[in-house]
Amino acid sequence: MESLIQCLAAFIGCFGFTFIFRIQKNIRFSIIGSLIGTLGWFVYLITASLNNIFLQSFIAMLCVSLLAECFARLYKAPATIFIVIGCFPLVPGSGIYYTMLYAVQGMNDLFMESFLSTLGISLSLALAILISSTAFQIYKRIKTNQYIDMG
Amino acid sequence: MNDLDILQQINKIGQLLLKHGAEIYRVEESLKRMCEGFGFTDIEVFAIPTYFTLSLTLHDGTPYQSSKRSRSNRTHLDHLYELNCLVRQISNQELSLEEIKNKIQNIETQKLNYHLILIGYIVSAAMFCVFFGGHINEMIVSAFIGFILYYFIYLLEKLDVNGIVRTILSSMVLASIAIIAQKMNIITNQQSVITGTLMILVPGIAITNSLRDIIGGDFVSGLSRMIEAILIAASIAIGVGIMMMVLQGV
Repeated sequence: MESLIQCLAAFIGCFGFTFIFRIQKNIRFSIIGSLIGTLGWFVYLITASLNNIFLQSFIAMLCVSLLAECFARLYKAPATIFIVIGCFPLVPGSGIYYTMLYAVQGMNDLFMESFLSTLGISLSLALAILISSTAFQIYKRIKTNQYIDMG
Repeated sequence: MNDLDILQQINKIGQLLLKHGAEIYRVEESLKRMCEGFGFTDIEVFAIPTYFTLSLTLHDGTPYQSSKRSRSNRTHLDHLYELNCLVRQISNQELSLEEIKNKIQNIETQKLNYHLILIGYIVSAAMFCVFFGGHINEMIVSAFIGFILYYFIYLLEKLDVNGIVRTILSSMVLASIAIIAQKMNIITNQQSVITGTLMILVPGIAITNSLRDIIGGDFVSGLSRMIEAILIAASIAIGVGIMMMVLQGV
C-alpha cells in the first residue's frame, strides 16, 4: 500500500515539475516523462532485495534514461526533456537533509556516512546516464554508418 | 535569399537554444547542420553554456564571423522541443526565410501561463512530501511552502540575485517554515516536508546537461555545469543547515 502511494505521489509530483520546467503545450511529454519517473521508482522498489541503494539507484536510473532515449527517438525530441523529469524520484533529497541534520547536531560518524551515501547515489545516477547515452550514441553511429575515420 | 538575413536568423536560433537549456553538442550540431543546409562552407562552431561563435564562408567567398552571448539562461522544455523541430526543418530546406522568421517570432512572443507554473510548485512540493512519507498535515504545509517559494523565487529573480544566494535564501525559507510548523505541532514529520520541498531547488537540468556535455566531449562546458550543480546542491544544504542551527533551541 505504501509503495502504491509513493508511486502515485511520484507520478503527480513529476507532473508538477513539468510545469516548473515550462512544458505547457506538449502535455504528452509531461505524461510520458512522469510515467518514466514513476517506473524508475517502481524499479527501485522491486530491486529492494539487492539490499544495496547504490545498485538500486543505478539500475533504476538506467531504466529511466534508456526509456527516455527511446522516447526521444520516437518523438524526435531532445532526450533531456524526459531524463530531467524522470530523474526526480531518484534524486537523493533525503540524503541532503540527513547529512545536514547530522552535521548540525554534531554527529560526525553519521554525518560522514550519509554524506558519502548521498555522494554515492549521485554518482550512480550519473554513471547510469553516462552509460545509456553512450550506448545510444554508438547505436546511432552504427545505424547511420558514420564511423570516425582513424586516418 | 540574402545570406546575411539567413545568418541573422540562424544566430537567433543558436541563442535561443542556449537560453532554453540545450546541450552544447546540440547547439553546435544544430548550427552546423543549418549552415550546411544553406550551402555555406568552412563552417566552424564553438559553444559554451553562455556563448557561441560561428564562422563560415559565404556563397560569394567572403568570410563571415559572429559571436553571441546568452546570459540569462533558463530551462524551457517546450521551446527546446519546438526549436529542435525547427532546426530539423531548416536543415532539410523545408522552409523559406519568411516562414523561419515567423516561426522564431512565434517562439519568442509566446506568452507563458504563470498560473500553471505556480500550480507546478504547489503540486510537486505537496506530492514529493507524500512521496517521502508525509501525511495530510505535512502535505498541506508543503503546498503552502511551494506557494511561498514561487513568489519568493520570482521576487529574487526580478531583483537579479545570483543563483547561489537565491538557492541559499530559498532553502532557508523552506526550512524555517517547516521547522516552525513542527514547533507549533502542526506537523510531526519535519523530514518529509523539508525533503519534499527542497526537490524544487534541486539542479536536475544542470546535472543532466553536464553529463551529456561530458559524453559529447565538451569538457569545459560539462565541468562548468557540474560545478554549477554541485554549488547549488551545497547551497541547498547550507541554507537548510543554517536554519536548523538557528531554530534548534527556539
